[in-house]
Amino acid sequence: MADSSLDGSSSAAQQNVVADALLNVKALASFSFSDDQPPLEFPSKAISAEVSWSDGSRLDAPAFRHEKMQFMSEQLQQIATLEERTRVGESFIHMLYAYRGVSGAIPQVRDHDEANKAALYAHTYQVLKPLVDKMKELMAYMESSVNTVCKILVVANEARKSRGSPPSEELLLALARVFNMFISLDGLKDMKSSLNNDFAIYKRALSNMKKQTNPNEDETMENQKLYNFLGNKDEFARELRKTINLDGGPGAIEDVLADLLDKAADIIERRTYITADNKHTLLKAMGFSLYLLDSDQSDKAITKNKKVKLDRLMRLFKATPYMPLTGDMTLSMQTLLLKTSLREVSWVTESPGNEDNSLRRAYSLLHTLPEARAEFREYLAELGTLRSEFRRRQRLMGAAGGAPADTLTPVPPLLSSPMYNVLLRGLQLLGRLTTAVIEQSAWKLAHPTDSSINPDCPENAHDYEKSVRYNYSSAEKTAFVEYLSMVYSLKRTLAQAEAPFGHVIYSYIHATLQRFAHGSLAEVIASVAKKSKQNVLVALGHAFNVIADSTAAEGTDIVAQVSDKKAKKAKKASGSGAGMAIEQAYPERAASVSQAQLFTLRALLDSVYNEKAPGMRGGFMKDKDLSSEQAGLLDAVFQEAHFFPVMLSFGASVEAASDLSELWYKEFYLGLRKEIQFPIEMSLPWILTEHVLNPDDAHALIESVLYPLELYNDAAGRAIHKLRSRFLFDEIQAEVNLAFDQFIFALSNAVFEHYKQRASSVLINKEYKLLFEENISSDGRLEVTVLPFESVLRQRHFQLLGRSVDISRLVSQRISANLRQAVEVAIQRFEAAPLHGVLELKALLEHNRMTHELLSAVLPLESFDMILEEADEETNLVAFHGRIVSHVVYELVNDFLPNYCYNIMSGRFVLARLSMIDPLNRPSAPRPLPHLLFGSRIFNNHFSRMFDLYREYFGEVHFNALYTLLGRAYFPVILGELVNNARTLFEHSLRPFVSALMRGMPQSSKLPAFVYGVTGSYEYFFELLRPVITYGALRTEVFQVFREIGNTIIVLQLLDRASFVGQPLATMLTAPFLGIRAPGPKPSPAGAAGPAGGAVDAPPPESPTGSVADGRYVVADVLAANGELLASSGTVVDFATLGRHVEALTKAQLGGGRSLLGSFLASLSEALDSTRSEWLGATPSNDVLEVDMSKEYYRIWSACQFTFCTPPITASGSTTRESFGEGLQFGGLVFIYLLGQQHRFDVFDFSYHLIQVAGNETQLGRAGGVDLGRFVDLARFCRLLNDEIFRVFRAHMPLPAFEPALSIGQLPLKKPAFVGRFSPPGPDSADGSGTYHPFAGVHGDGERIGNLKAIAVTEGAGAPAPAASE
Amino acid sequence: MDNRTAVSNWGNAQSVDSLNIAIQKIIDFMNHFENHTRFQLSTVGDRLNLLEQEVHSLEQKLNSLKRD
Repeated sequence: MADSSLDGSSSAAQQNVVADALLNVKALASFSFSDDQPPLEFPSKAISAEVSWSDGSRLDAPAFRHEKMQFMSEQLQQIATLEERTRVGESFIHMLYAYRGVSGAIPQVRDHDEANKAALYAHTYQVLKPLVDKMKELMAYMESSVNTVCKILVVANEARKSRGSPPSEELLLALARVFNMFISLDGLKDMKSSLNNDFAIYKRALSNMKKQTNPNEDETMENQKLYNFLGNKDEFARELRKTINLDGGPGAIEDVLADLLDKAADIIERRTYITADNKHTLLKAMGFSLYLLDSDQSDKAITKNKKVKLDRLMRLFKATPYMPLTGDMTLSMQTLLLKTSLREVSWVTESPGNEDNSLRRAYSLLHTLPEARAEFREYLAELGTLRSEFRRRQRLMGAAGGAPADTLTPVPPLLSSPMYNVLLRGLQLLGRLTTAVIEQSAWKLAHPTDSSINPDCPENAHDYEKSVRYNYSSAEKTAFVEYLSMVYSLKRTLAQAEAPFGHVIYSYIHATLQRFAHGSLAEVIASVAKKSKQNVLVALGHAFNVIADSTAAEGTDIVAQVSDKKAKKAKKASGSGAGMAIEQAYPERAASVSQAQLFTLRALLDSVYNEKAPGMRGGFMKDKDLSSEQAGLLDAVFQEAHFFPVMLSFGASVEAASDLSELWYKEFYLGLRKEIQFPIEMSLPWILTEHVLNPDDAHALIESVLYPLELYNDAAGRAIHKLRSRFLFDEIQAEVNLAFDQFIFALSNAVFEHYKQRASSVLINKEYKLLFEENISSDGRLEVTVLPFESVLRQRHFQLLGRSVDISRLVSQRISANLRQAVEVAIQRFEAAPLHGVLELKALLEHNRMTHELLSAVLPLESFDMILEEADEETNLVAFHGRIVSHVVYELVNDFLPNYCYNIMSGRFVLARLSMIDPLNRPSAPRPLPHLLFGSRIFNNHFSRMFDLYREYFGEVHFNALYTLLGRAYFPVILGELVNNARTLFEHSLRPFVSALMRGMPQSSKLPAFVYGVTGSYEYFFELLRPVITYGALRTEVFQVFREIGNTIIVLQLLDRASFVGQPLATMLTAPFLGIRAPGPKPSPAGAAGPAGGAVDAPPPESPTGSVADGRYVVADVLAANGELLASSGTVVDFATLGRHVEALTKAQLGGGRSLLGSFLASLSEALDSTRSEWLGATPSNDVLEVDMSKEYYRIWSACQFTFCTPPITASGSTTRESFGEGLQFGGLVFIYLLGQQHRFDVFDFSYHLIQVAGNETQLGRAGGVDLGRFVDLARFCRLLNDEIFRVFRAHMPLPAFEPALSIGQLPLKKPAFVGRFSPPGPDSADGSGTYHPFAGVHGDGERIGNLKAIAVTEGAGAPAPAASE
Repeated sequence: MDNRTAVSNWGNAQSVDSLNIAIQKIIDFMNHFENHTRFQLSTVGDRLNLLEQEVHSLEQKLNSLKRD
């Protein structure tokens, strides 16, 4: 370390090096870091350096010695001895606490092991020897400590008597610590039955071995002693008392102990302790002192001792009767006092559980929480304000020419004093909060629950479960977590203040001491010198010399100065400059006072002003040494200096004041149960963590969720640094591994569930939500409160057992998996349901997308489209068989088309009553956890209620859903599959049937004359068509085929309609890339308008088709024209290429798109070619028309129509329309339309004829049981419907207006153009090099794509824009 | 009787303490630096992960084209 007293030139050089280094350190402050992680934990410290103020050695003590005050050296000596004893004792405490017997693991020697006996014993001996040695060390330690402590007590007592003034505070506190340690050692030794067990086995092994070896007399003796030592209770306390009794009894120590009791009571009453341990040490030491002072002789009992103020002590004991002994062992004050004659006091014999309520409330965090919370918040606010105020003032001072505002130079008292005080108060608050937590825990351990108090607690729960697991109510756990969060937040805040404000503490302490020395102390010295109190003058003069700093290197001789002052009394009386002189007499420094220096100062002050000091007792005819005012001045500094050691090692004090590691430890209960580990459910940190994540209880505390995990850090720190126990650390680590996995799992689920519910709340029908919430009580609300998960999810370096954990990443991995699972479940459910499930699928996918969007704001997640593609198994660019589209096609072909009936009035499909095909085998629907659907059971019910409305039919809503779900990109796949299906039906079913029916048709079928009337005509037709009407398969299979084809047509028509709604948006979005401009009234002459229109002079196109034909990609062109710009900005994406991609991909869909139905009709027409001649019938002999010819297709359909216009004979029977729906007619008429026979059909149809005949009749009878009136009604309806259907066909695939087909060869539509030709951008539209061909390389198999994906209009078709056709 | 020892003691204490404070500041700086880098690295790591996944998926798509 640099030392200014080093001499020579090397000293100067070294000082320069140091100064440079310090400058560099100052420069560090100029770096600013952005750590965007909300502070929810104790800050992770990769490196920690504890700047310890003192190592306890007090090496500089000789420098402050004074020959007239030997007592200080003696006391320092005693303190050092006691501290050394305490240090050793503590290591024994840790050894004992972490001690787990090995006896259970040692195999027992049985009789039949005769052969191995010797070896077994030898090994047992070897294993146990080191442990027994430790026990012996403990015994030896006890013997030596007891003697040492007793000797110190007696000596100190004598010194106290002779000097008349009490020993220093430090000595008393050192004694208290030793007493506390004795209590702990006694408790631990008595608790660990494994010590006895191990020793018993050791002894047995030893005695068996002795048969072979020579018995050692000493060792046997020692073992016997150890046996007694381990067997007897409270060995330390009893031994100490025994030794004291030998040395003169309680009377020989009572003065010192009375001082100790007073001092401890003072500290507790003034609350000048910091940590919980400080407080409990004092309380326990008080109890122990009473025990030492007590005597079995009733006249010397403690109750009779005048020097002990029992009332005061009892009041303190009653306020805090329970405290931890070590770890999970609790000590109650009563058990301590039961060993004294106070056992006759009624309170002492009270059993736990009978305390009054106020004590219970004082121990309960739940009841102290509001106060603590207010205090905590107020403190944080104050600290925050002060910090900024501090910086502001520091800047001002720097600007005003004072010391530069950095963090190394001393700070003037004006600034340092408030900061020092606020930090000290923070430390005290931290200690109080921690004490409250620890004391509640001790209370809980002392007051286990049982099944009568807590119904959740099972009858056979063991002690630890009763004390911890079932002992906290939900509200108590919440309060507990909040306390933890306060402790750790405060700990973080204070620990972070150490580096920037450490020098403030040093500056303040130096300034305070100097102000005192040169101010109050100097004045008191002057006054004492006047009164010629030599003893006091020496003491105070020495105190001044010990602490006073000076600007003069030779220091200040205060006594000389005082006499000087005497001489210049007259001068000084009027002078007001004295204060100024004092101010300038010492420099400002940021320097710490040393331990010995502080001890000397306090001991000197105490000996002078203490009311028990001989000089201060006063009396008759005797002045006190100091006036009460002067004593007050000294006392103020004495009390303030009490905190200097704590503040000088601020970092360590913060650690000590927030140590909650005890909450994890359970060695005592493990020992009781003879178990190695309890399940994680019993571990307090995990109980609290789980509580926070429990949605019913404390989700709002979610930001505190990491604090319970901090307990593991504390516990591990204790295992490593204090207990030094490898296996305990391993156990903590194992538990953390498990707990953390569970934590991440539970956290992810909670997050996922919460965000799912939020998405539900957003997506649920608003009107429904309003109505529901108005009518239902408040607990059924569908509004989800947003919980502050975000700050937890942004944790990227959470420190756990020295490992840095990226919570953000871990959670996002799980959430990602959850999302995948949710999407998978949605698709699975769709696959297990009929086609109307498309609504649920759409809703679920939207829901997941919304969830994903909300989550993406806080977590790094891959894009939802990627997740969906993966779940849909749709990663192939050319195959287009995702699971969704496959299932749509599957359902359409195998269930929907064959089984549904269409009604043109409602525009809906409904399921036919009778199915003509075998029912479909669908996989059973998965039954997922509620959160995988809509977030919760409640939301699932609401959504399912909404889907119920759409389950019974299939209509516009469903088609729109299909469209949104699949988009136009998948239309070709659907169309292709449907075309294939229709072709198969046509080739394999319809054609044979039609041929068969044709054979059944009469050669000629003239329409009968009007005179036959309706009845006559009906009967005529009936007879004429009898073979057809009675054809067995007609009403089943033939109609079924027609229905399937018809349903196909309707489905495509409705899909078209759905897509026309969505199309304009796509057009708008792609237009800029395609050079489409809205044909505005005034195209801007310079083309200045529009985001992309600036440099484009493409003529405004008349129609989208025309514009595409231009082949200009506007955006791409603009970008290409500014190529240097793009290159210079370093853009990776080539916008020009991108533009061409977009153009290529969308051009076909937009401009060249033809309706699905149109394409289907065209394709069907092509299929028809093979049989066209047959269905058109023979070439008419007159080359125009065979009027009576009945072998044409339309005749057959007329026969069919005649059949299904015939009403059922019984009233209950259903009409054909009811069974097959209107798809049947679509299916039949499409071929008439494609064959160009519409007009012939209109003219020659049998049913139509009957309608016309019926027009002349008023009364229609029955014929063959058939109600002819109904027949005509049905026929009329059919005709209306037929006309409508033909209109639909015309709209989608117009034919020339006149009747075609004079002959087959002249058919104008022989080859309807339907094969889409898709030309990639040719050399005329773009430079050849960058030509993009989206389906390059797939053309071999690309028929489907060529046909379906890119359906282009060929010349001559002149299709109007699809939307217009509707 | 004077306090020469105390004065030089204060001087020495100041030198030692200024080093103590400086060490504390360096440690504080390094811990901040560590957190900062951890945070930044983790952010970059996430981005890389996402890009990697995307590339993987694109690669798969590309391969689907090559196969035929």
